[in-house]
Amino acid sequence: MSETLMKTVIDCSTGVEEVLPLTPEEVAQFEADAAAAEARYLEREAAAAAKAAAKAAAHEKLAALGLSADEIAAL
Amino acid sequence: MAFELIKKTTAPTASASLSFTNIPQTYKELKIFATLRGTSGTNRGTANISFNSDTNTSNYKGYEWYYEDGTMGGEFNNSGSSASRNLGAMPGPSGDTNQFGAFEVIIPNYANTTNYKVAYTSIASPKNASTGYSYWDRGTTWLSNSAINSITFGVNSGDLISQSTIWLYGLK
Repeated sequence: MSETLMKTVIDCSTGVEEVLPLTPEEVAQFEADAAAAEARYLEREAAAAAKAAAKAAAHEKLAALGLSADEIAAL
Repeated sequence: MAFELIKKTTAPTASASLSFTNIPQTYKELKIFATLRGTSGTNRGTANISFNSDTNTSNYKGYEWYYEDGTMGGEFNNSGSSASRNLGAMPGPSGDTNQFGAFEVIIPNYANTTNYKVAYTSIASPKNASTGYSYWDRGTTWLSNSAINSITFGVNSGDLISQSTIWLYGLK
């Protein structure tokens, strides 16, 4: 991330392209988005890990019942 | 019917966002192609969109399905959800060199002033040799009757790298 957050703005009516610093309001929004994204990422990672653990446990239980790896994979 | 190129831009420097303003109101629909890559999020970051500078997540909702890291997934983002303005994945700093995510966004009837606006987005984003690709399809509703006169592509953290490019087309 650049030290000063910048934005590129293209005016379709004039063709003028400008690189401008974000306004304080835009910086605040950007920081809120980043915090929410991080929280959402951690939530998604935790859900994926829990699902993987449950799947591994289910496979172990099926194997203990006598199913082969191919039979478990076919379910 | 034919698509006309309204404007193309390539980020001249790392930018938190790329915006098109004063979009002509004379087309039937808008179609946007973009190649985007971010500076944050390890092997992938997330791009987002906003219309008419409205970044209030309560004014958007969306549904997405995706294939990523060998897993199919999907979720509905209610208005107010932090993810309601998200578009989907793009390569991050640990993505393979010289790879950008390919985005296509279609916004029909963008200039009408009586209905909410819906954008359909399709994305293919390479990540890296070990994690492969992300594919995303997403519908985004902007809960506003206002005509769309500006569109901003942003990132959930970090910047869009320079060389990120967006083509804005209008359908006559």
